[in-house]
Amino acid sequence: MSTLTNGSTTANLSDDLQWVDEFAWNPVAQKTGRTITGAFWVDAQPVTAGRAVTLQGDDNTGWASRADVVALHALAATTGPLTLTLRGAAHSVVFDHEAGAAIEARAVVGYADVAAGDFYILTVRLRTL
Amino acid sequence: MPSPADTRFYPGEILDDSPGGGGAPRSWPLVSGVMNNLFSGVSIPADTENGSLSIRKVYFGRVAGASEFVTASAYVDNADVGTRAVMFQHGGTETPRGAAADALVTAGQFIPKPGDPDMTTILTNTLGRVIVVTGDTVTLAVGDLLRFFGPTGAHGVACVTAIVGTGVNTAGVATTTLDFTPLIGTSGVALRTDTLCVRCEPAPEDPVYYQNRRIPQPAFALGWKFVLDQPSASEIRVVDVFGLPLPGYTQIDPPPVGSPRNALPEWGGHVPVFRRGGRVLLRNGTNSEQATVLDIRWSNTLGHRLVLSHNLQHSYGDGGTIHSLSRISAGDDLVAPEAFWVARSINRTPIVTPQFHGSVTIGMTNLDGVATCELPWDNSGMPGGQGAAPPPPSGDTVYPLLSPDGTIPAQASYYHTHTLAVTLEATGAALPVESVSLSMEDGSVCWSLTASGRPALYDIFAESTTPQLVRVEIDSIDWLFLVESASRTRSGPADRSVTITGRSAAMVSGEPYALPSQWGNDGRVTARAVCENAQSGTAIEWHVLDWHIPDKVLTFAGSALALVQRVSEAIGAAVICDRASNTIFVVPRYPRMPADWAATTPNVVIAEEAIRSDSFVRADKPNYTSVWVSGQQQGVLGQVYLAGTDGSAQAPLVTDLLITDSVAVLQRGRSVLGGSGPQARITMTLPVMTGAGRPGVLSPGQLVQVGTWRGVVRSVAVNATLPTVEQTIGVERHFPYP
Repeated sequence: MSTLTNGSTTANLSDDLQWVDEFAWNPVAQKTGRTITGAFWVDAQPVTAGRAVTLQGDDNTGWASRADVVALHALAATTGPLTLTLRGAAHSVVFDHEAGAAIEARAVVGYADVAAGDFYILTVRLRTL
Repeated sequence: MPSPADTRFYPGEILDDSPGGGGAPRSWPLVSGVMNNLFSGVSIPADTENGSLSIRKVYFGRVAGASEFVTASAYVDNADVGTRAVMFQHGGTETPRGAAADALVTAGQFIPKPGDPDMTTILTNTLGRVIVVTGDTVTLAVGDLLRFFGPTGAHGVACVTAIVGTGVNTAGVATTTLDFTPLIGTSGVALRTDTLCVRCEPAPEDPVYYQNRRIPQPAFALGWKFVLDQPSASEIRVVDVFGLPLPGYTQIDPPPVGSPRNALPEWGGHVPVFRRGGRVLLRNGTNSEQATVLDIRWSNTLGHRLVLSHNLQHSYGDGGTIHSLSRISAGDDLVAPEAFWVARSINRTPIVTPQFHGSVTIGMTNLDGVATCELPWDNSGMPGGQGAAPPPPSGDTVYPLLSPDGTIPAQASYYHTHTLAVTLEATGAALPVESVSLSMEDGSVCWSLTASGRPALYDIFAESTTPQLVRVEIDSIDWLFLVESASRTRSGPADRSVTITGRSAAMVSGEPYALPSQWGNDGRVTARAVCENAQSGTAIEWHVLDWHIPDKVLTFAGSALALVQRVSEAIGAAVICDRASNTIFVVPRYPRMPADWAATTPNVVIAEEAIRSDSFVRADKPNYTSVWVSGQQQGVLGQVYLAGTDGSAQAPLVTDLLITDSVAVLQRGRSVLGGSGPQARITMTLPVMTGAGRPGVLSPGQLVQVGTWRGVVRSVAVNATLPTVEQTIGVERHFPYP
């Protein structure tokens, strides 16, 4: 079981969530251009932290119960660093409120009378610190 | 500790015996022992048989940054038989050789010490002795005027001062040996360039020109034709030339009535009579000035030596005072660079050895030791300055630029990784800054900072009660800024940007950190001392020529920094502060004139391949070739020319209270003339390249070569928004120079 903890509160995450952008990450910021004679110039800069951690389920895997989604959502309302324990490794992270909703959950089956055990397809957006 | 090792001797710019010889100090010093470095090589037999007198201007200076050097004595050593030399102070830095030579010859004020050369001998060297073919009908007498004609059509007037004897030459023709003093020559005659015509204005009976100046050498050669004007027009020709001294000058004033010279048409039939207090018009080429006769020192049969007060400054640069001739003596405090003159006299001696070499050594001593410079010459007849070193790209004589010389090379690609750190100087804490812009505009004293970043900046700077210092480090190049303002804009809950601005740390010397004061001077001070004494905690690095400001001339209200700007403005100097220290540099805006840029090693060579973008704007200014620069109540007036021009395109008169010395005139003139003429402003964006042989961020004042042309950096801006760090420089380029 993966978890997201802000010290006192822990939210559970399914191990089936996929880190979809684990390698869509540039450890170097770069800008390029051409000089007036056509020479190529590159300014590069190693960047640290800020790596996106988007944990995403789909129609078949990584479902979360409504109770877990509510707990996650409550956690996302707080600020400050969190500890993500993912596949046994700990990462210091924050919710990414900039690239869309930090917690995105869509009910697998939309019921009129929702219950705590209803399943949701979950996307959690985090950035490492 | 002041040391002779810090001492340098700088030659004047013009190392020849023309009346305008001398000039401003060259920017590189004399190198001891280098052949013909100051004096010309001796020409054999012309110089040794006739004797020769050379007068050279030498500046006593010191390495930039060295302490003031007080001399205990100054001296010149005569190393060789047949050579005599003397060193003397005369006039200001603009005094030309002609004036110094005249002062040297007006030897009444010069008291030689034992062993010094006899100036009288040098004096009489200037007169000539010829043997002329007289024929049967010509009788020569003392006082006769001869018209002479040179082989190139040049002509002039000479006066017979003595009949030495008569004889018969080898062809059996009757000859007369006579002494004469050349008086007036036309252009094309060598002596003409050293003449100064004087016209006696208040005496209507004598509205004529008169020559009263010494001629350096007998300028007549065999075959020259003399015409005796009166009583008959017979021709005589020079068959031999001597250079023997002429004893026994007598004063005949006014000249004897009925003398044949009175009828000379060129003189209007009269010879002028000079009187004390009379006004005269001095002419030198196309220039003229008025003066008053203060004294008549001596005269020979016709030649008066006058002591004149110059009402107008011209190229003599002595502020309306009489030129004085004095020896540099013990205890003289020489404000560097101080001009003095070294006169070398080659005696008329037959050459017994085929190789003729000689030298003199000039020196300065103080309690810490001796600084000397040996000035040798050979018999090559080569002009002086042969051994002068090329100007260094930077060094002790060029003001220290704030960034290293280097090259931005041509490459197929440019890959750079930059670092940017902005920290609070007091604590070393890193500041959350996202982008930084630094700039030094043309004419600006300081670097300006604009940095934008996270809201935390607001908490640090917005309500601070004391100025805070911020260190900006880009690729290990440091700047130190006083943060002067913080601004924040908010829009919605998440959009906050904070911008801080500041100026260089050295601005503590200016408002609002330093309160304005009233400044004045009691007693004579130097401009540099005025600037330095006003500072508290800010260092002044002075890289321009210093000059004296007379008692109570300076009046100014403002901060200590504004005072430095005010003083620098008088000579057109730039005031720029250091990047990361509390130091202010006073530097010439044109340490080299645009015409000299092509011959100067550039500080930075920039390949066009490295230019990310550029723009060219033509920005012509009037093409002035001269400017009159004037002080006010206690100032001096002088005209500054561009070398090689006639100075006819005059810039408007420049007036400044602090133009109190010819040194100030020259520097202000350079500033005005350097900035005139056809030119362009080029701005270009370049990478910031650091490391060995790379210039980093350029500095205003650096001479750059871009492709095939050269210009001087006037403005620099650095924009750092990682990953990109770029610099944009503004360059002043002049035409038609490359």
